[in-house]
Amino acid sequence: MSWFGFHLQDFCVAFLSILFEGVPFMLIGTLISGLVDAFLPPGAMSKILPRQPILAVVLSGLLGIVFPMCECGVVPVIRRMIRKGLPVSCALTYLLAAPIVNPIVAVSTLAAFRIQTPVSITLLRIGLGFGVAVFCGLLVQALPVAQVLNRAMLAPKSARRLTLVSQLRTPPGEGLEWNEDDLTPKSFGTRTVHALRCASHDFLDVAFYLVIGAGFAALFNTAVPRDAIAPLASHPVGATAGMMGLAMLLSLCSTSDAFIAANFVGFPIAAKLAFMVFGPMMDVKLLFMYGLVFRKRFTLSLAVLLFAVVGALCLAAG
Amino acid sequence: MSPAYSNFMDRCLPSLVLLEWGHVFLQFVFGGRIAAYLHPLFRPFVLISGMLFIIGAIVCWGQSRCSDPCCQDSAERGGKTALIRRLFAYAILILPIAGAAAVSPDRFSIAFLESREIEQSGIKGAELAALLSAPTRPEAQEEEFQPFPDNEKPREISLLDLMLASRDEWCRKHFDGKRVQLIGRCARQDEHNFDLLCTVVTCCALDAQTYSVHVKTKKAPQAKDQGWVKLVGVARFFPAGDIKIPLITAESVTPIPAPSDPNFYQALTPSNTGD
Repeated sequence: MSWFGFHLQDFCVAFLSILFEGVPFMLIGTLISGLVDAFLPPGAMSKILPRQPILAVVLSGLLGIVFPMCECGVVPVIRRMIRKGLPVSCALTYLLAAPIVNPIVAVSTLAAFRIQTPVSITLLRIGLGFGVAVFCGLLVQALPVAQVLNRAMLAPKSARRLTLVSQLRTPPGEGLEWNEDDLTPKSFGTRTVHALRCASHDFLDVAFYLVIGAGFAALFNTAVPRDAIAPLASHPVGATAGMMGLAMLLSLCSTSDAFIAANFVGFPIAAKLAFMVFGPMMDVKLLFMYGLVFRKRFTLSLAVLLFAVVGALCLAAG
Repeated sequence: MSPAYSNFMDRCLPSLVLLEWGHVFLQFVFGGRIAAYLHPLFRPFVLISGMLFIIGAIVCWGQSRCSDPCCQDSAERGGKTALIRRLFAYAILILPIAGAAAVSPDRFSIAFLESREIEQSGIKGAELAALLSAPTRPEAQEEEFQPFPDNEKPREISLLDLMLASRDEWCRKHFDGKRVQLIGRCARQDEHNFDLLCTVVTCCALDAQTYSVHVKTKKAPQAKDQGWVKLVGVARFFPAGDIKIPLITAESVTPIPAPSDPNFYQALTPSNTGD
């Protein structure tokens, strides 16, 4: 069996499928991000979240229950929220947890595993997703912001404006609490126009990464046969690693991945869990999209950390 | 920066991108092509997105140069490199989607779909073939093809019902030994056997999987490979590992035209299962 076989027409169908499924949710995300920018006053995030940093991270992990977002839509939202003062640790926790810890995914996981102990698998998926997201959030709390966010994110709005005019280098930011009073419009009408402009700008930014990510995901999805990991099924560690690798390549939406996982007959439950927890947090498409917020080095380190932690926890739980 | 450059970068290109995306999205919705890509539940979102793209393109075209700082994150830093980078970004936003929309045949190849076949049990190859070719009941094989009384109307079911029934006893008792009618694609046929296939989609074509049921017939069906057929027969289930594999003994197999929506859709919620 050949491990790689490119077929243009299959590639096109897969590529368009990803766009048709992901873009509407990304559009919702960018509209929300525009509204956040226009209507959320600076410093509001710090008022909403608890002052206790650990409690704030834990609460961020549960926000998906109230604001369910898929992995495509959540990137523009947290990008804008970080600029509004949301701590990076809380943003990362929400980013990783929201595609798993939300009611839509819980219902679809129950449906997919309806004849394979659905309740325990759903609870394990949500519990592990929440636990791993909070763990990563707490780790990021200990890191300097400059090691996590990319340069564009670190540049305050006022400095960005100066950068454009006078080519000044942006000073590395220690925190992201800027005075935006001089930049944010006041009336409802101008705020709405501002929101729409920000939304369209954010959409073009994120869509660029989505198109590249979707291209790679479609390529791997159609060119690499799923049977390639079948020989690993009998080895718990190999099966778990193989299923996480497959989740990374397939880049499925978190609402549908449980149906794919459930049909991997012969694979241990740990491997199926790893597929459903790791996939929504990190895949080929997201690898590119995260580049819009985080430094490349941080994104790659996060991918390795998630692979190790999710794999170990799922093996223990399974 | 010259006004012409500014106009091109800030109005023309973003408008062109949004217009192109809106055109593709709406063309797929109104042309019916979207059925090959997406679960019906998600199709209205494509329509709304397409309309928003067109509105966005008009707004972008109509506006004066955007002075909001949000519009200038990655804007021009001067120099050739920045210009090339921006043009490359717009090319990525325009060309792949336009190319894919033009080239896509709106269906996966047979080889791809076969590689996505759902494994129904741990039993494979010769063992499975032997199991399926054995008589469905201890009685003589000829008896299997005895027609049911005419007054027993066949139950109209889908292949997905059989897939669910193979794993769930409560569902199985509704179909086991009952006369059923269902449609699917005919494949891998020989004189007395063929497989009835369907493509199962959960959200979008990317998660498409192929489900097959083995069918035994008295005479070879008059259908071409991968052609659509309507089948009337009796469903039975065989133990295979943790589940039971369905097998149908066919009374009649009639070729039919392909349906307008060729995919079968998995229920996203557990509420409508088992009926």
